[in-house]
Amino acid sequence: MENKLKKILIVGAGPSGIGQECELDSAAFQALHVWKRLGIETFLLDNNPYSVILQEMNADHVYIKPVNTDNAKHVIESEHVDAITSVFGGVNALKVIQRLNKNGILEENNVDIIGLNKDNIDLFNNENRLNQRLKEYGIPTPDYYIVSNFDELRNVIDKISFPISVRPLDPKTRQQRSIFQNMEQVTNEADNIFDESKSGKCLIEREIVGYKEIGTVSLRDTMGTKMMISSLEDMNPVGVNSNDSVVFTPSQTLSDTQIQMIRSISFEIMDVLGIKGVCHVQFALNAETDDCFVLKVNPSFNMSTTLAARSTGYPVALVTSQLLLNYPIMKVKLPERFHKFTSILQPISDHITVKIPIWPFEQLPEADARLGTKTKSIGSVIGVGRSCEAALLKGIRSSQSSPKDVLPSYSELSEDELISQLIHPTDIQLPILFEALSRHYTVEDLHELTKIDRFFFIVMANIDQSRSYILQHQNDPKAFRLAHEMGFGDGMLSSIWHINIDKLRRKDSYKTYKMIEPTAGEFPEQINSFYASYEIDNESNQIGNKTALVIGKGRNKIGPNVASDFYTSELLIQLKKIGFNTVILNNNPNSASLAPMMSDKQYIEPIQLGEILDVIQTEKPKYVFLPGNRHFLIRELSKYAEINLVILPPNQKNAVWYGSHVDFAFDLLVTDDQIIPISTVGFKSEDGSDDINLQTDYYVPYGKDALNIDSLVQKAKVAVKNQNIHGLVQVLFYKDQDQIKITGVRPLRITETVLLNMSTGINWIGVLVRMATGHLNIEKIKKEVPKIDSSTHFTVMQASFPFKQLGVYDYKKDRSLESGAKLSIGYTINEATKKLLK
Amino acid sequence: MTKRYLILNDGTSFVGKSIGAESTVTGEIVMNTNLNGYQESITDPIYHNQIVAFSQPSVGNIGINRKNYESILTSAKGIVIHHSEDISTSYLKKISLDSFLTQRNIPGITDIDTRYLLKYIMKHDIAKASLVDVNDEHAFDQLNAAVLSNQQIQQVATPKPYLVPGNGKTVAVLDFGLKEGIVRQLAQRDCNVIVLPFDTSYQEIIDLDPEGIILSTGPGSPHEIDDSVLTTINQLEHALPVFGMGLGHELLAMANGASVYRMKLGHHGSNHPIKKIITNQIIYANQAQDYAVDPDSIDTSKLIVTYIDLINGTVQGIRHRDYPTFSVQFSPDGSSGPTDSIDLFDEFLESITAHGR
Amino acid sequence: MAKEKVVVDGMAMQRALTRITYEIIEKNKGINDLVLVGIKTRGVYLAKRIAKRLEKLENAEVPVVELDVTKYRDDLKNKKSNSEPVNDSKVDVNNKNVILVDDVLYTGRTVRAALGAINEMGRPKRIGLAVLVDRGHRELPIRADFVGKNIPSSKDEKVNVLVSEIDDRDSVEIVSNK
Repeated sequence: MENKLKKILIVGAGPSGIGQECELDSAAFQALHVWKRLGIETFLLDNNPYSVILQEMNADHVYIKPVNTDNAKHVIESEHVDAITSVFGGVNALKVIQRLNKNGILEENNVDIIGLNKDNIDLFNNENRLNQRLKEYGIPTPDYYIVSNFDELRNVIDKISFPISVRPLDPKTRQQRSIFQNMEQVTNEADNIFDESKSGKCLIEREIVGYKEIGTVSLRDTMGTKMMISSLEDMNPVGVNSNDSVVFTPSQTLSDTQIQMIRSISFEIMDVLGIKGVCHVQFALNAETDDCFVLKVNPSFNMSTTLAARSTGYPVALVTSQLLLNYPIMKVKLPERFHKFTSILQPISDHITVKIPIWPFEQLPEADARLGTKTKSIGSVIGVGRSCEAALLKGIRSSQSSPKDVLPSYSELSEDELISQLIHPTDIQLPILFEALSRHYTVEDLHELTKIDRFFFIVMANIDQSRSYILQHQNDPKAFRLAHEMGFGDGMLSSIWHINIDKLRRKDSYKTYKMIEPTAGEFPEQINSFYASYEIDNESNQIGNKTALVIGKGRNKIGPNVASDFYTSELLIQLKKIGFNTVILNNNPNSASLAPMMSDKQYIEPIQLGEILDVIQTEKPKYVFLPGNRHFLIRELSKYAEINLVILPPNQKNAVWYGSHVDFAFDLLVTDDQIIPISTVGFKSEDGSDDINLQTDYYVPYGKDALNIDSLVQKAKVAVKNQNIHGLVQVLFYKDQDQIKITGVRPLRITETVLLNMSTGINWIGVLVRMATGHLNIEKIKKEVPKIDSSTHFTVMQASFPFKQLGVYDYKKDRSLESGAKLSIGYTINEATKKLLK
Repeated sequence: MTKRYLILNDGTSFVGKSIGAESTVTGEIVMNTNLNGYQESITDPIYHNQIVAFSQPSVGNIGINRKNYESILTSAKGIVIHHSEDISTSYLKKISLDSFLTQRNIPGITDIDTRYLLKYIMKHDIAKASLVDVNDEHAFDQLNAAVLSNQQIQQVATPKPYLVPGNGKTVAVLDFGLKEGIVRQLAQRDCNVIVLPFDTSYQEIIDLDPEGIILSTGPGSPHEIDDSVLTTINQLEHALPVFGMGLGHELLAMANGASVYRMKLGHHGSNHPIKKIITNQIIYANQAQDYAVDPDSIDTSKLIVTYIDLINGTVQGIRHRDYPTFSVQFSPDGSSGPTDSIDLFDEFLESITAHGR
Repeated sequence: MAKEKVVVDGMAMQRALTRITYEIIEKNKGINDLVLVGIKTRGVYLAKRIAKRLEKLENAEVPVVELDVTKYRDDLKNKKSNSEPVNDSKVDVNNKNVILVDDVLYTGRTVRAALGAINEMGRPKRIGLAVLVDRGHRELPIRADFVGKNIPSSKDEKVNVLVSEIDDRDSVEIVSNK
């Protein structure tokens, strides 16, 4: 019954983008870990360069190709895999497996699908058929009826209760649907509706405005044992995609009866569809009547499953990867740091987690920022607290771009604009709600306008009232404590009180870290994930003497942020390799850097000055790694002599520019006393422009024979010597007629560092980490670096952009707007570029 | 909100703020780790005379709801929570937790590090606690001197029989401090339910001609129940299908010669995996348990162990070898808690059908 | 048009088997000298499930015999002509408590055939009968000792038992041809 599989193919997700960041990679990384221990060979089909699993796997097991049926077939046939899975690859991977199943390739090659039942696999991505199947088992799904006369209409109304929504089929004009509360209204209007339809028919649905949207994440094993990991409650009612809604977990406004109802339905769905492993189900629920139905069933990892894992501390991916191999949950083995019962205890939390989506509208102001049923967010952050207030406020702080931790103000907004924003929420929904509260909108008013449960406004009002109290009690210890308990940051206090942040640092810290673990304190687990509270018992102590603290990226926006997240994970892996205890501070739930096996200890807190200093105080790290784009933090943390700050990924502000055009570049490693040339890099833009910002394709090597490498190396060395830039450095060149001129010198960017890793087979992030911590053996590196441009193949990395998904077409493909990238390898540049598509 | 203290019998005290009634109380303290269902727990007679401390971080979010009472009159003696939201009547047309507690004269304390409290109670031998407004030696003396009532069952169980009519099978429920969830499940299956005082005699029960017997949940110790009740149970299982839950399970075990002990550390939550031995599956259910059946005392020629808690190893279900008689330690009715084993009620009714054949 | 109606779902079927298992323990006073005889095809799977349950509860194995009764049926025209052995197992039924297990009890003819087959195998102490579904319309004086569910049905209907070992799910369905 248990695992007999030897070779498994993971069908990857391809480039990150809207609605997908690093969560699938994070889960796959953990599965890889587990499967390796079980003696399974894992293969990967993917072309997302910012993928930890791709970096950490044996290169000969990775197929860097677009995720499609042909390429999957190729891997199946050449590697003779026993099984294939889409649970780490999202919708696209599922479609690939559906096609492979349909055209018999899986059967021909004797390949199992793991996690899903072959007979049911076609039901996913096919809402109608899925609903039909669920309905056969009495599982409630959205009902709609098509009727062509009043009699039929009346019959339907007998079946579904008011209010109902009716709209004409094939309408003659663009008439909207009508909502009826009672039979009298129907009688008055029905004839008109039939008249509006060209075919004389109308469609009737139960009206679900104001229904709550609730998710569940559950596990099921081969014995049919089921467990709910967490419930997830959207703040917004049905109508705003869950990815775009603030989400509270566990759910906060449902009765136990309602929770148990959706839990049982989720279990039944997994039974009926034969799902093994993890499953996310989304529900619409009327809290007054208990009426509920299934909106979505997703039998794979996604942002919701990852949120459930991060918020409970339950190792969802480590367990699921074993359930997929038919291990009963009782026989699942976890790494030693977990309690022996962790996998079989149904998770409970004594804290609250709030997820806040991150949208790209700041950088793409032309896009329609109104929230609706289609996902527009690019990622998310979480706040964890002992109360809803603290969790929400911490989440909000992590979601904002203010370097100084100050929340935006919308006090300039006119009343009309405010009301319009309340009715049609956009990315600034939360600040708008706070603005409304400060203008004395009542909870009842806000509920009327937004249909959001009153509970959430009570929470916000508590925060707002605390703010008033704090405002009136400048630097008062009581106000201080209240502020911290409520989740306020030092930056906010500094701005409210107009006091310099340095002066705010209290001497006697009363912060207590609490463990994020799934038993609410019943078992002293060694899950090293923490958040801050202000109580009497602190659970986090210094982990060791040789510690490196890595400050994560926090929220992902568009631009090279997913790459940056990959970079953070690699920093942790590389630091561990050279013997550091690794500690990560981050708040992006989807980040692979927060996966349980990625570091020795995790702090899930806002990445702001106060929080960083507190972690440093507890951990006393030898090194603190900080991303180069956090300029305010660099400045502030540099003031502390005892903090050994390493800026990685590097600060692009150190770049020196002589022009803005580029043809190719040279990458070098620069230490205090040596300059080691590594490789040439070529660039390509979509419209042939040589503007440095519009280069969407990078490739290694540049590979034009015409180049005189030796003279280039000389030029580059001279250019670098004049600058004070260390580490990986890129010198950019521009061909002006016959002359080769230098465009600029910059620290090698994150995306291109990843490309360089791929093309040279050397982990350059590891090199930088060794260099920063005095562990670098420079002679060894020199020997490892391949001879310049000796490679027989070309590696191409092409940026992908979210324009189409967001419905914007007026933007140039500037790399600062990328949402992900594709990788490809070929014997010529043309071949490699062509492969990007196939 | 005024200051209030939670004091434990080992001399430890926690400072917090008051919620609910102003009174001072002393009682056993138990930690409830359920994520939801504070109203069900506060009104469940199983917690009668106990001070219930909740792990769930925010209590009171949905106020008090007409659908979620597990009893009307009885309740916990006091509550300890970390944080409460004041959902007041004007918003929800429901009672807030605070006003409910005040009305029912139940004192509570909030702003307590309940996570620490749970860890502390698990490590130390804590039996009693008080909620007091003044934290002085006198309070501790009083706490230590307090003799807790052993009359919980008598205090909450119905003194008079009553009917919950239905058109289906007639089921007699012996009330040891019944939670309404049991009757709710029977009513949903259209049973004709007769709720009887727990000391009703065998002949009186049989004269009512029920088709099956339920031994209900209840508070406190099974040892406080008179032996004559055990004899009645013994006679009943010869005659009719019997289904026991919680305290009813403990009594059924005792009636069949097994012994029941007080656990060093009770368990009040629904996170423990319970193995259903016959299928090797795991289920989850609400457990509110301070006592357990001693597995070594079970006469295996008479009883079969059917469920077991995989965490603390306690017996969670037994079945008689010779009669359609079975019982579970946990609450299968799911209010509050998971409904994974709710079909035990169906199994019971199907046993009645099979028995009558 | 044939219409299917699920009358016993997977959960209820599990429950019925669980109850039958307990009733077997009750009536048989344990599992000593017990032999389960499953009637092919679905009765065998049901017998195996009951045996597995007994094993979990009592920590002892219960033998399961697979029985093909086609050749003993007097009412089937298309009997298989080759007379293969009905029972190739080495299980000794002499002096044992035998329980026949089948999915549906209808006219009783299958059971009578099975009794004939068992008689050829030896002389049990006692023979009992467990069925998942009793649908009535008996033509012979046969009565089940253990019944999962009584499903009164009309003669025009068909009662199908599906088991997940060979069908895609566990359920009992009534197919009406009207």
